Amino acid sequence: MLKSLIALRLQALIASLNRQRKPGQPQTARRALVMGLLFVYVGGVYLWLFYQMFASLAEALFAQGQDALYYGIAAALALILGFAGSVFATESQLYEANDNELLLSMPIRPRLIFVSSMISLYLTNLVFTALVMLPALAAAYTAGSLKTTAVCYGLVGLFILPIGSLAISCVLGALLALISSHVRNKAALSLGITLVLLGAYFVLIFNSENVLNWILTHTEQVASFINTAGWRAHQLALSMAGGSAGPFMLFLISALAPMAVVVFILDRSFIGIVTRHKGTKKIQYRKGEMRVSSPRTALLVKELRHFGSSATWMLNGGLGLIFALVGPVMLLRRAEFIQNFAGAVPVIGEHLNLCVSMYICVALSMVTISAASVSIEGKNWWQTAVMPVHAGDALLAKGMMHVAVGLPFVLVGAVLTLCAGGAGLADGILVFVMPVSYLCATALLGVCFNLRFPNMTWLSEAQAVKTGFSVALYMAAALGLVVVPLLIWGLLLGNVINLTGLALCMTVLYVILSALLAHYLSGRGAKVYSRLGD
Amino acid sequence: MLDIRHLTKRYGEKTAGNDLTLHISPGAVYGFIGHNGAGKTTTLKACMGILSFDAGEIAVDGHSIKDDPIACKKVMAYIPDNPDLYTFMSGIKYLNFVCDMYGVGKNDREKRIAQYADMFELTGDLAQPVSAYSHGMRQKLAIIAALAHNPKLIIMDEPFVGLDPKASHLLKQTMRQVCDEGGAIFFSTHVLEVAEKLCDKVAVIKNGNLIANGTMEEVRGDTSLEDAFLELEEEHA
Repeated sequence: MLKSLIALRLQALIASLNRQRKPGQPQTARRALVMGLLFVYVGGVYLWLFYQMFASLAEALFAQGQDALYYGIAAALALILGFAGSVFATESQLYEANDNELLLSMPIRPRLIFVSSMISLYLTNLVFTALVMLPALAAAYTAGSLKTTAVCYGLVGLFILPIGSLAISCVLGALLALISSHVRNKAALSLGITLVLLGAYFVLIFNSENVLNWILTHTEQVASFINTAGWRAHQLALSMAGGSAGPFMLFLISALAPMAVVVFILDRSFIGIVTRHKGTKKIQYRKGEMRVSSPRTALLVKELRHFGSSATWMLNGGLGLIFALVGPVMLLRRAEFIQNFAGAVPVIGEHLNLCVSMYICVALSMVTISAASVSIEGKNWWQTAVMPVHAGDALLAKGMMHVAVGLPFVLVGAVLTLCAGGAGLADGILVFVMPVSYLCATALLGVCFNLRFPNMTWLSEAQAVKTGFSVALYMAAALGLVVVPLLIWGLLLGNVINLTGLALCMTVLYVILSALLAHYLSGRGAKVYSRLGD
Repeated sequence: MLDIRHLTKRYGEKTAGNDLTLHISPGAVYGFIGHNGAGKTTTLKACMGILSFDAGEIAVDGHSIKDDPIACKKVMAYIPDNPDLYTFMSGIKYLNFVCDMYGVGKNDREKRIAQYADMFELTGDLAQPVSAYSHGMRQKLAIIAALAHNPKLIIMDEPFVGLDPKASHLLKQTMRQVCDEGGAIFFSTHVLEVAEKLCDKVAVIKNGNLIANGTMEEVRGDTSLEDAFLELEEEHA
């Protein structure tokens, strides 16, 4: 039974990563290859980023003989990342999965249902942990301080650490599910919690230089903190640094025991959690005047309402918008440092504002709102399909919603970029026009990709907005729209046109692309959308 | 009102509709019956333009569903077997959205929504999010949404499933009233007693083939619709 349930969960996980196929349509080798390459690319970027971070720590900490501290930081970071990456997924996939009630109605022990979900979550957590632990080991190797024991304990720890973070996610996910069942606006609650976490993250990032310096000058305090607050990570770090089995056994117990407790508690409370009823007060309806809108406006408002109602969609799809503001804020806060740095490279120093604008475009490539906008309709697709509205309008409304959500962030980013000063008239105009045109192009690009690779049969929203094939493909393509022109310019055209000319060319490219994509969505795309029910 | 000519729809080797021809006139309540998987939902979805078909033609009020789907959809309404509605909207916002899409004027929408919401006793729940609705309440909301834009043709897939007895009775009355006012209704059902009492005409489908079609009297003869249906099923086994 458990085997069948695990197979079911894995099928759902793989299906969510893949394009939805029609019955009988085989998985082609080409599609599998594209998928594989995309995941290698995304994984590679994260591995490289963590490697860079650990390389800077390794040199200093190993030189001070602080091996345990180095591995402690790695293990603690893996735990935090695993927890942060899985707490909302745990809530939606473990406690709020669409098939929970169906499975509970079958002669299956509840324990098997949640354990099978946990295994799927564990695998996701394992990926997060690997993204931290493997670069940490690689950086230690590069620094020439990697011992065999560290490799052995580190690799075993890699598989055990996610169990620990999953146990915490299960408890907090249950609390979140219980609290949200009594809150009318659940999306606001989830969004609030995540924004607080994100705020803390950005405070850390903005002060990363100071934080790294502080760690290196206060190694004893950090070690003591990890020893107490991150006791589990500390035990793993001790065994990795010293090679002794004792701390590793303590680490094993500290990771497995909480999970055993969680399983024991869930075994008694799982049905109660997943079948709870909302205790919110009924809203009284008062008859009043109804607002009349055109079909296009109504579709746009519908898309905005849908987006605003889903914390999963907002957080996963819109996170890049917050990143888009980081560059301009950095430019304002660290203007002198950045200008000094940029001054060393004349081509950047003369057009710093445009460079920040391009950074905004890179951040916007992570805004995947429209890349999930078709899939997220799921079983609701039929509603617009039976209405007397052109399918192209329904698709364009999805793109417009992406633009409407992103535009305030882009405009604020552009204003902040201009506030840093130094932009001429042409650059000043392009600081606004380029990211706006890019936002429009990527908004429509996301709809096109999702239309081509929809997943209408998801079990939880996270599958549609987070792990869909179209989302990964979109991010790579959107990034390419900034990086490829920059590379071509850098390698071939750097001496022919300046950065203003490049930005102008990119803007023209985005405007043309927007027009072509809008034309596609109104024509052939509309036909594809109308046939989604086939 | 609805002309289905030589409709053929295949799913791989399975034929869900095989050369179906039906004509539904204004004023008629037309029942569509058949066993599970016979091709009822496929036919209804094809009529609504949400499922493509391999051959044949479907015309609504003189417009082809293939060539001019918008003109067809303007005069049609659809109530699916499973009312998956936008759960992120409140009931009233959903109804207002539907009215916007059909271009219903302010006064008309206020009047009709009030009329049908009162009739189906959903007025008190209209401010609630659809996610808080029970299956029956969602079905009622789908019915009100269908009636709110005063369609000439209503296509319903198992419309009585999930409705309480009172709502079921009201729906039957409303269906009759829509047809008395010149509209047409094409609906599928497994409840043969309802079909027998309500329908002017009935079509029986089996494995994608139309095995009987005509007025209620023509199809059932001297027996009940249930007996006639079972006999037809046996004849075409």
